[in-house]
Amino acid sequence: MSIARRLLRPRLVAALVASAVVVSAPHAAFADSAEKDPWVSLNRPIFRFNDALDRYALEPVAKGYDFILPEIVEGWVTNFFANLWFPVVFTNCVLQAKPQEATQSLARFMLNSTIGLGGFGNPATAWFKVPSPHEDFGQTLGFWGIDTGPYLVLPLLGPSNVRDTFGRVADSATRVWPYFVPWYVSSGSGVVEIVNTRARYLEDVKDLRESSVDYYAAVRDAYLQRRQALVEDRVGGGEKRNQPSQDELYYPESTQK
Amino acid sequence: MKRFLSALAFAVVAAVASPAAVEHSLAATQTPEQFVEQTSNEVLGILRDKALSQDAKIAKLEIMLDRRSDFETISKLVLAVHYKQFSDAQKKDFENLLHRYLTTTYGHQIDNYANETVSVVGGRPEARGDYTVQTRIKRSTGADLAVEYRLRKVGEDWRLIDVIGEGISLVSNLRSQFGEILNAGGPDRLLTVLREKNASGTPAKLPLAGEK
Repeated sequence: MSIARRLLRPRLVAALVASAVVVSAPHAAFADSAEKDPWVSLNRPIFRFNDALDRYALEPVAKGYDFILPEIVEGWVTNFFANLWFPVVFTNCVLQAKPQEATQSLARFMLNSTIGLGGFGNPATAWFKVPSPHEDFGQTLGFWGIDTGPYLVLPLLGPSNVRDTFGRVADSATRVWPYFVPWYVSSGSGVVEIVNTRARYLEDVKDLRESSVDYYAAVRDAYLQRRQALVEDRVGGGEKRNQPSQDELYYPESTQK
Repeated sequence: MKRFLSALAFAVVAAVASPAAVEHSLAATQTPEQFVEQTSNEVLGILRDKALSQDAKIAKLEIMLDRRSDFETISKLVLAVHYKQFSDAQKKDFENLLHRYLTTTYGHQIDNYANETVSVVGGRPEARGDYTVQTRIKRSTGADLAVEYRLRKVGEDWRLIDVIGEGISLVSNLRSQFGEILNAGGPDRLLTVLREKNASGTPAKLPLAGEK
């Protein structure tokens, strides 16, 4: 392979990725999540790798963590990290022109950081009943009509799609706090956040692993459906829209008489 | 740690189950919201009935699964484009296996549900006469869950055709899981996989796309 061709390849890849993201139909629903997974033969091995890593490293650590810490402490840790997501949530409420959600997000941050003792408590929900909006940059892109692109399993990070991978990068830049704390604090707390999150889903992951006949497809479908519902604000704690569900799912043409 | 899935499982069971004794009181004029509300209350009654063993509870709920849901439609929706490949006998086989699969998968978790409460929070008409009822499940710990029930009219009565937990449709999830098995081995393969799964409760080994 010539040097010129080697140089061209990353640009070709970038072009492919870009064309995958900017597709015509916004909010395109899927009749089967397999339609969204042209890269399945790449995704499955990565998924298997992630799953093995989880079984042998993360899950055992999370089990130990879950065993040692009382549930209430796990709740405090969860609250603390959720509070730190404020810049991301707030920014994306603004980017989606949702003033009510932006206000809720700001109010939550102020209440939980002060009365909630630095974010470990959650008085915004417990006492003030302020809804907790769930917005990120992947959803913002979806809100403005950008399609998900193909489903993508990221090494270590798990299920995603091309759109949400861009969103993830943008959100990590918005999440300003790592810049003003020393690296060992932010990476250390990153580990705690991952372990704590995993500990909260021990039973769920175990149940899904055991109950599914195709674990990979079950996770893929759940991820894509959930993200679609979040983009359409059918779920997520903030402003809600009550709109009819997709026809493709409930009236498959092939079964019409 | 409270389980999201078990709460969802509870939702499945709650939506499809109701004691035979009250079946006649389900008038044709019942609204979809009443259908879901009444059903949930009746199910909670069974789950909280200390006189029943776990097996007895599962057995009771399983009988109700048939009465309150439309398994023929659920099968059609789950199999989608593959439905036509199934012979009549295979269709019947699949319906029974799916029924069994849902009850064995979710049935063993029912002890976790007794402290949950369900409230109907709204509903909306869907295309071609379907109706979706929205509920919230309040859990003793953890955040509330938004669970929707998709209903379709069979004759005069409402029947359940899907459960959507936090935006995730059970029909869609099963369709995705079964799709690649069907692509690889057709109806026979899927029926075998389900039969093994129901018998063992452990995942069957499958050669699938991306695995050589």
